[in-house]
Amino acid sequence: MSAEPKIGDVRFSDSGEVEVFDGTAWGPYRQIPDDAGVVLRDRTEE
Amino acid sequence: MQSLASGRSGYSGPAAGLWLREAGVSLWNQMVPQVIKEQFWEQRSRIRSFNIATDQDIPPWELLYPLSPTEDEGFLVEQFPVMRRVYGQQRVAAISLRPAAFVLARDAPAEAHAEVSMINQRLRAALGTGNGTLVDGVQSLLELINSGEAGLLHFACHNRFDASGGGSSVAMADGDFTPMMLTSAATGHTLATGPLVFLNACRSAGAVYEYTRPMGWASGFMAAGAGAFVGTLWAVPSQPAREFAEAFYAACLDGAPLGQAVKIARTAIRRPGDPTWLAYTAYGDPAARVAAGSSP
Repeated sequence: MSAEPKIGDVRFSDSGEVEVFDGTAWGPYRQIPDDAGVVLRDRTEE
Repeated sequence: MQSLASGRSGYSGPAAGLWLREAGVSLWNQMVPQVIKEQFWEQRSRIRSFNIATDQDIPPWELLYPLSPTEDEGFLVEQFPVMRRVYGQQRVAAISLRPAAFVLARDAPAEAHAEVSMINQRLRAALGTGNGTLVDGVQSLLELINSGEAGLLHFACHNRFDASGGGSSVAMADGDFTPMMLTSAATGHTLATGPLVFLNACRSAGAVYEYTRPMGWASGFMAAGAGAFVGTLWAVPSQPAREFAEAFYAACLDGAPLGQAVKIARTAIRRPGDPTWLAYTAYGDPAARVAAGSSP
């Protein structure tokens, strides 16, 4: 990973949690309320 | 199954459960020869685990529901640990989880981030390791796979499956990762530590014909030397997918054999009318256990 993080880059924190770079700082991935019902791990229909 | 998993089938609750049961009985009736059925009922009380050896990866064997006029003990996978094996598969009794690498694509669902955090933290605590490696590019992933030093490969992501010919693909930062890209790894058996590969995405154990044989993630990773592969046969909702992984790793790290760990994880996510608990399929030796002391 480059020295300058890009938006969406991920890393582990010292405590072992995934952190995401939002453009200004690293932090935990923020859960977005799901309006579309069940989220499948599938991109076949995209 | 896709529509049942996403709640769009029109079936719900007990009706969906009945549909699943009848689908399982139908698979049993149509796919299992009569002589095998008779042997199954004769030997059932002595069976400790079930290994399905097949070169035809297409049927969803985990859906099998043995039924006779006098006997009904439920789905096969709720009766015994059930694992698949591919022909020529090497026997790996100790599954390597170290060093751990996680594939977390940029479009991964929110639950996938929580899943990777949980597994990484659990491995750190149980094995005394540092953080695993996060991989988001095809190039870096293939370098790792072909290095001969890869341990656990856990994918928490979306999988695209094109049954009309393209097969599976995982979108990564520098292009799609496909089973064909494991050809060199299979030739050199580069997964030399016999690691676990867990592709926790939709239909990640699906296969399509490539030239002369079925090709998919399961056969590709097992040919490359994986000690075990866990994937799915149809679309899985992200939340139970995370819960399955959580229960599976907890059981493995508590010392459960692989087949039993899969069975425990299925039970943990079983809900009326939701087929996700049957979607998971595992390849390898059901008696294999995690190699807690494996290096580095």
